[in-house]
Amino acid sequence: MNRSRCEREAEVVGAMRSGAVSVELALHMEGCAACAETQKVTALMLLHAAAIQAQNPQPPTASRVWRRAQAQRQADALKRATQLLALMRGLGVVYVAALMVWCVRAFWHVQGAEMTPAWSSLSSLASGTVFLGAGGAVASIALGAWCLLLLGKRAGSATASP
Amino acid sequence: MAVHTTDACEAPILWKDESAGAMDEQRFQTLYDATARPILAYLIGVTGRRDVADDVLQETYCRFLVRQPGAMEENETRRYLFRIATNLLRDRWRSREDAQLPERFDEGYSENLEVRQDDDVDTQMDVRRAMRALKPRERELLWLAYVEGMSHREIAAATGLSAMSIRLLLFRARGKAAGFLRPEKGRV
Repeated sequence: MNRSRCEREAEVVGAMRSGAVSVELALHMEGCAACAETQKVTALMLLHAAAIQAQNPQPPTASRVWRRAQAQRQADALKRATQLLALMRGLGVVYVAALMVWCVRAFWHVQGAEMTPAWSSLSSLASGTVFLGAGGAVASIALGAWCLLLLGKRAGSATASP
Repeated sequence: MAVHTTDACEAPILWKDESAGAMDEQRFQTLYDATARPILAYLIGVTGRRDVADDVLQETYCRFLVRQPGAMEENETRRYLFRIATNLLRDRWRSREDAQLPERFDEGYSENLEVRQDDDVDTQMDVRRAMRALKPRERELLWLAYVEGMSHREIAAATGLSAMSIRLLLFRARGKAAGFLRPEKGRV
């Protein structure tokens, strides 16, 4: 037994909380610094708790909390469902921006082609930029379609479950 | 599948895992009735503010329902709820909006600590002084240990700290709180 720790501290707390401190325990507390301190602080905290309980604070009704949880759950589900769509929208914006850049470049190429032989213009049209743009479009469409299919399947399985 | 509606949105909500043992409203009502009052008292005791306590209490149960933990014993559920509440309090204190909260203990709820007829004036002043001087973490630990009567292991589960840390922190908090009491006080 020392000031910091006594194996009977839990017993002291239990007795203080129940309000039934035995004579034997009271004698022990007089001789044990740790238990005496525990007793004092337990009394302090119980007084603090009693002051709060005296005000009889009423928690919100269970139905109100239930409704709030439902609304929160629905908002979470909606957020999860729209994350992918937001991503696709972002990709769409990037693609449109890239397309506009390519159009501007192509426009300058066509203007320059008036001064060059026809085969040179055809060559520029068949350049990697065209294939890159077309490939990007096809990939984006495929990715978007796949995502929508996946979302549809998930929604279908959720609705079908009992 | 059960279909519910909410005030926030009239569209039906589909609780797809309800049949898998998730909590229904009746079970929630039973749990809430058994646990809400002690948790509310804990939150008021730690924050000293009724508005914050109410908000955190509701958020605690919302998190519990959204996470839908598996089957738990009554005591385990209680500890889990205390843990959520404790974590939410910590999050609030860390956030900018409630940065001043620990320093504003009992502001707006000071009537709770007003002197009652059956209590000694000095003791009430001791309580108020001690609660103001203690850090939120210390008030948490002291409340869980001495009002809720939790063991070190249970407090560790409720706060996310190790039992060894609890032992040390609780010892320090106890000594600090005892320093605010007059020698003759504390006898109940």
